[in-house]
Amino acid sequence: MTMTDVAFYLLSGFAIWTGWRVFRVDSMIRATFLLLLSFTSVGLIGLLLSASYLGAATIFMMAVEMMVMGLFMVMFMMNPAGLNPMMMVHQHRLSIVAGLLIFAAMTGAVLLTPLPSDPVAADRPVLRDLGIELLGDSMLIFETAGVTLLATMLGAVVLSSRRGRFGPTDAGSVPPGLSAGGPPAGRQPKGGGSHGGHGGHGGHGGQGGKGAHDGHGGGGSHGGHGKNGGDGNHGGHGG
Amino acid sequence: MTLSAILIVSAALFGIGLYGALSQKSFVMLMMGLELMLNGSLLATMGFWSLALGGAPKGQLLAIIIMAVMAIELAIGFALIVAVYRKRQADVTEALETLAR
Amino acid sequence: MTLWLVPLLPMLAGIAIAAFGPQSRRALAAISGGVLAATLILAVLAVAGGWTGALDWGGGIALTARLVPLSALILVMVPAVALPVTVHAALHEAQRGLPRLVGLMLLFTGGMVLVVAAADLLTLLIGWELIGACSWALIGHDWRDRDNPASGLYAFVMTRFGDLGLFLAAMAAFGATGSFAYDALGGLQGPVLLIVAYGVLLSAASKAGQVPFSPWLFRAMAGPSSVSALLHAATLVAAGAYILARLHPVLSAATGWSVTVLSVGLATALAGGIVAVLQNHAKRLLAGSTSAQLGLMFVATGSGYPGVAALHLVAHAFYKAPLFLAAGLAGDRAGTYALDRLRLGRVMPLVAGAAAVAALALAAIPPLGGAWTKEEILKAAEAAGPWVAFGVVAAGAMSAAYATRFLLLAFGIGKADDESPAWPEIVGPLALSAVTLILSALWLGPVSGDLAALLGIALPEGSRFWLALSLLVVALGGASGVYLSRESPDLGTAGTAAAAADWLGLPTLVFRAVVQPFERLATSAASLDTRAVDGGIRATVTLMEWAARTSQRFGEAATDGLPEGTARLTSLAGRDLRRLQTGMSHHYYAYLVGGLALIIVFLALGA
Repeated sequence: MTMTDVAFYLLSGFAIWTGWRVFRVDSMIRATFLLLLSFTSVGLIGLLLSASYLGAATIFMMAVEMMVMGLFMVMFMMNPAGLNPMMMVHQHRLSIVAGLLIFAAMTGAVLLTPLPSDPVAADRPVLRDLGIELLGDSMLIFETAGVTLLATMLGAVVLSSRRGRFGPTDAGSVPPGLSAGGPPAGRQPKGGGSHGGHGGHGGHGGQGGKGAHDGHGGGGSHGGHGKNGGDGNHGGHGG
Repeated sequence: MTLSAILIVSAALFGIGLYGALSQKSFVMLMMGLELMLNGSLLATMGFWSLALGGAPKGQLLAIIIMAVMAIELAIGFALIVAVYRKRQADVTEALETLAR
Repeated sequence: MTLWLVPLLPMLAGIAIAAFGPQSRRALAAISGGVLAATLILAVLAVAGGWTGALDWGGGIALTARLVPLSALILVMVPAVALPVTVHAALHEAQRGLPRLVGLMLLFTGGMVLVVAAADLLTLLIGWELIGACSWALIGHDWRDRDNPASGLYAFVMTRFGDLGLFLAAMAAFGATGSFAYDALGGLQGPVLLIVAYGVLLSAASKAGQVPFSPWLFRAMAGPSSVSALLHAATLVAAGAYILARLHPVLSAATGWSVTVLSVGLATALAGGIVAVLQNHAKRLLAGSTSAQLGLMFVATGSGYPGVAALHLVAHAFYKAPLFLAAGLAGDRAGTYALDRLRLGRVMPLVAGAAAVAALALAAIPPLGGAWTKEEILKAAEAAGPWVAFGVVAAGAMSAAYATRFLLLAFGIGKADDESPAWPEIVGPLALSAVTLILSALWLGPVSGDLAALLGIALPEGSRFWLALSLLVVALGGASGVYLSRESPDLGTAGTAAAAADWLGLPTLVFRAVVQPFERLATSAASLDTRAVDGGIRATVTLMEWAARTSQRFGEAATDGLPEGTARLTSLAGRDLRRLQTGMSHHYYAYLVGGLALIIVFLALGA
């Protein structure tokens, strides 16, 4: 039992425990941070496995991802601070059973299978191999991944745009009914529409109060959104 | 730090992630479950590369691809959540029931 | 010439007349008279010529007919009696069904001749059954009256029951000796002999109307009076006495047989006498008297003198037949047979005269032939014992009483009437009574001695004491008969006399002891058949019906249920499968995971 093993067990236990706690805490931000911690410990395990680049990349990536996720948490969840106890689950028992079953099946497969053993040599230049591989034999994959990421960026921008081809994307948007197919929950805004009276956003080139607000920067009267009643969460106003 | 131990740990992460993906009502929490699953698979990949593959570079490449997948999935996922919210004001999965029967 | 001719002639003629006979009285009388006269001539020739008859039936059985002196006597007597009676019947009886009556009487005569001429038990049986059947048919001749066929059936069943004895005897004899012939019976010993002897006795007793079979003779009086005269006085009932006399040499060897015969005969003679004295119905009086006289014949046979019995049989026939014919004439004229209402002496004087002769013979008043034979019976009874002789004397007293009673009541001096019966109707009784008168010659020693020698009959020796006693008693009896007819002419119409006159309650006993138990047995057998035997069938039917109903209920359920059920299951499955489409993404995720697990399982197991 070397130090590596001890560290590994500690880290793996921590990863599992934080992963579990993600779904048990009331506060959304805490859930986000717990997931971050889980990823971080996985990254550290990667470092222990001599996958130094992978571990570091994991930690970097996951940090930023969790920040983004935290933002979305605050935007879309009703209880970000966790001041009230909350547990919004459905098909709970089925999920528990499925999770346990999957774990058991995979563990069984792992234990029953004769796994090959070919540890990486300690003096192997891992990073150098990775670099040569990425830009050598697997250049196509790399490039494809890059293009895919570009497409993702474009897609994300388009999907979350406030203005679609057929008009504002939140036109006729009503909250879902409390029962399936029922009347919309919550107070209905007077005078239709979802946004009513944004007023003075300026700098949009004649789109009126509603319309794609995306990235408009410098708008003065945003504070007035708080008075808009009905529909909070507009998302993505940045500054 | 045998390969079996790593794989069992990754199986545990995957199980927890599956639990989360299936049981959470909110879209965002669901995404977090998916993230955990991918986390587990990333760990398994790293373990295989380190202990069974002898450091072949293709193993690391696979791990990088997984990370890329993670990113893509998060981005598009959240974009979709925003769009859905704009359209239906839906933030839980039960709200999207117009496809029923 | 074969002896079979003698019975065959009247048989065939009788069948022909019954089927195709003319309706005219005179024609019938002429034909039947001619046939019977021819039969008589044939009988005489057969006796004289010693004819025999034999018929091989095959299989070791042969029918034989042969005459011994005893049977020869009776063989001549039968057509001789039948002739006047049948002619009288043709001339007097009702026109309706007359050819059938005359034909059957001829057929009967043939059967009786067969009985007499038989030399083996099988031929005897054939003739026996034939005369029984003719008796049934003749008693129920006027079948339109409901009682007549019922009476015929009663008589037939009772005599047939007795015939079982003859069947038993014949089977035992055949089994023991391999042959039915009378001659073969001589070698029988032990139990077989007992069976044969008592079987024949049973049959003879039932045919002769002895106690306890006497009631059938009363019921037989329902037939026409000519039938009563021929069958139930002269011949059919006499067949019983005849066969005992005929087989006496052989059967007397059986232990106790003679004593039994004697007891039966004596009991009947006394009981019949009582019944006849108390009787009010004319024909029934004569029937009771017939049983009593036959009883005396049984006494003679039982005492060991069968020839005497045969002689009395002949005499009895010739005086009983005209009495019946006269009673028939009187009853038809007065419309009733009640003795207290007859007194037709002035109306039919000639008939009354004939009846007087016959009645005196019945009363056994000398010098009539009937008296002689009765005294011979008394002598034979003396040989048996003093009590037997005393009984015979008593019976003789009673016969004198009822004979005079009958005569004075039926043909006493009453009202006169212009309508006397025509000549054709009275010629019959007159002829028969004439013969009775002729038989008085028996009192003459040489006549009787020659006759006995001719017939090979042993005549008994008797004491004068008994003879004197008997004659005295007969005189007393006659006087009491006269007294009774004067003082209480309606004796036997009511009270205990009437009850006793019905054979001292014997018919009731027969009904209670035989008929009712038998009917109850038949009813319970029928109900057993319905419940037990049919029960099985009915249970099967019920079972089948239940099976059909159940299989219909459940079979329908099965045959209809299968397709319908399958259809319903399918539609249910379809409806349930639709529920999977919830539109909820988390449900779809769950399906995905499940499907993935399945794939993994398949891959792990199979691939």
